Amino acid sequence: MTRIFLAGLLGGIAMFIWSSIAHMALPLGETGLREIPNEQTVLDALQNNIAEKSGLYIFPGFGLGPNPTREQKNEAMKHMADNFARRPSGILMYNSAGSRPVDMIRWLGVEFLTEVTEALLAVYLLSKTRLMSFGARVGFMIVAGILAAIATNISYWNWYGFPTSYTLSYIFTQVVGFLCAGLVAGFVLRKQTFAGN
Amino acid sequence: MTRIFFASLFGCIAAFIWTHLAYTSLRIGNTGLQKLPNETAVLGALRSNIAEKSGVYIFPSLRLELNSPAAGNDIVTEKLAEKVARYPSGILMYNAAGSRPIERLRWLSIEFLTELVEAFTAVFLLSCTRLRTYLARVGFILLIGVIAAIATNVPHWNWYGFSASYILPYMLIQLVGFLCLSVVAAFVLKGRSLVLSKIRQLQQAYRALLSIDNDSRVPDMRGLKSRGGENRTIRYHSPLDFSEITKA
Repeated sequence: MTRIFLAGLLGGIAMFIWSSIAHMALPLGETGLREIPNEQTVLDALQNNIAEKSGLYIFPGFGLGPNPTREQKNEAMKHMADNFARRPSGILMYNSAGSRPVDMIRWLGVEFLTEVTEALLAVYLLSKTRLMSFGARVGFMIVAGILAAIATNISYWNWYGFPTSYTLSYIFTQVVGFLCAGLVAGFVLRKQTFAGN
Repeated sequence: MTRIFFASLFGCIAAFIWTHLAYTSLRIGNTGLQKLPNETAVLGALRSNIAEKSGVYIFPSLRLELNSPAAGNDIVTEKLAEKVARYPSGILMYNAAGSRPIERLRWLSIEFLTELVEAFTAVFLLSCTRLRTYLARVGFILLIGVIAAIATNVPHWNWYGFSASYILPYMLIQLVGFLCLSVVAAFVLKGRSLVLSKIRQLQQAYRALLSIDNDSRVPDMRGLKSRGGENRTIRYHSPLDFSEITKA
């Protein structure tokens, strides 16, 4: 069990190192992300209209007041296609001024913990397999990575219209992260026969 | 393999039904999603400035420079800290008017296919295990669900500030989806040893063959069972030749 934990931990560290490289040294972390044209004007408009109400906004809305009836909603749904044709659509995550200070240490810490947790769980699952060879174990981790990567990204691409370049880059970064974790975990566990095999 | 396919398919259907219920009847999927205040004014500002350039926008744009090692991270971080103290920050997914018509059938089909791929992948990983009990198999797929749920959602919450009130229900929907998949898939596979058990049988046979002396004694294969449960014997030719596996 110690060996499995060590493999997960080191795998998580490898995943984190890869993510850092992908976001800082390679363009992968920024693929598909853009700067708002006339940013200052747009930020002023957002600030004037949304003010302090931080949150995740979806647009366009139904154009109904608070607590609409089912009939009103059904009627509004009929006009939704027309609404999408005439107005922009999408989602906006808005943090009001000063509500979310830059805290790189905390953000990096959370990222690190997330990736170590993912790697630990994946290696724990790997330890429940019969896979004996290094290649098969790395393959298991890659397949787990593909599953993890598509779970949310494809849905965002599909339902919210996130760009393909952004989505593919995000998925690629995650899958390579699992590959790195798999290589390290496979190496640490190379002489390990899992219990029951 | 057929059994694994059906386990994935039925599991996927269960997960898809759950997801559909979560977004339509239960409305869990809409938790944390809000309507824009002064929508007309906000969309007007977006439209007049971004116009036809659909895409993902991160603001303030200094966030993009934060990733560049050449930019001098301390200076950029300092500037960014000043900017987010005075102006809003976040991420905007903007589709220009008319660029993304409503295509519910297409969106639902892609969602179903995505969940089918996830289900098949999860059941395939399960097939690599030696887990035999129903609960252990359910637990295995559920843990895969935990990995899938945290992999993108936690970074979105952490780096872009996605509201916890949106992220947590989203993760819950994904987890319950994997639970539905696991309950159904494990039921379909109940009482079945998984595909790799055949490979394990061959490995055992191989080890048994390697362990015998060089005389041509037939190794003791009485512990090996065929699919139907009847005993098999292996006519020994060489340690690598399994072509002679025949029913007794």
